[in-house]
Amino acid sequence: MAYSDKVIEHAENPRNVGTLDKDDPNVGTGLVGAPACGDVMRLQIKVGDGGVIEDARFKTFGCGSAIASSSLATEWLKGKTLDEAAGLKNTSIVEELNLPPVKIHCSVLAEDAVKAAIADYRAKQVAKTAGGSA
Amino acid sequence: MNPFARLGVEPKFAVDLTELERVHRDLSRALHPDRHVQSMPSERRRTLDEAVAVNEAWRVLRSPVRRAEALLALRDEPVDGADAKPSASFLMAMMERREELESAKAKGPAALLTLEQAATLDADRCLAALSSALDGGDATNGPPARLLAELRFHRRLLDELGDLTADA
Repeated sequence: MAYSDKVIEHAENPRNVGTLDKDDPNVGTGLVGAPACGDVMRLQIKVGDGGVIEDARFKTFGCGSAIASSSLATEWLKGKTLDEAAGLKNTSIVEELNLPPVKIHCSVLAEDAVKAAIADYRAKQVAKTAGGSA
Repeated sequence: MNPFARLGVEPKFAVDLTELERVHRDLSRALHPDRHVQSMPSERRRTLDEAVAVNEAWRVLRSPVRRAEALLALRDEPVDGADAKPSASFLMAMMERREELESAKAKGPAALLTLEQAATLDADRCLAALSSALDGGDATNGPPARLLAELRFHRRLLDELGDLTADA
């Protein structure tokens, strides 16, 4: 199956590969897997004052489309508010990367990872507030 | 027809592959076109279709992943339902294995072999858990669909390791 130029470009030069400190209270980590193909994806966001995402990093072990989907997601996340980030849809990734039907699950995985990272960050904030008031 | 019925064996995960191979061979021999040259065209077509189906059933049953899928399908259990999602701790362990693979690539063949042994042990353990979940109803390691999903992650890692150690 042929990959689109954009997928190849992201897969060969992935943006924002790396790791943020998962114990940092301002970092949210999303870890997801695709049972059908065995891909694993970790996507992290660092949230600054005002709820704006300052940094986003990912590490994906999977096919080119999975790497490209998460690479693109991290590019989009930077500078977004958490609410904007939560609205990220896999269909936008599909359109931007021109993913064929058999690779749509890669974009779903990236969306899941973004949602999981936001949920992890929010859970940390709740825990911090609860801890502070106790 | 499900692959177990097609080969006339009991639907369970722990199959005797040697016995299964013998059953497949005997059926294939009986259905071989050379044995049916004198038959009516409709009969020849039927035996040919059956021979193809028997081959496919054998391919399904000899693969642990596909055998487990066939069993779950027989039981009307979805393979991708909510309980098939691997746990966070499993994904974390898999991520760590993946990172070990990256550093083993840099270290060389010996490190890759060590990692392959460890990953094989993981996969064998998962296979044993899947077997007792499917055949024995053992729920201690999670639902069969989740163990099947975990097995796919293990196999995927082992496939990549196999390619690397074969090159070494």
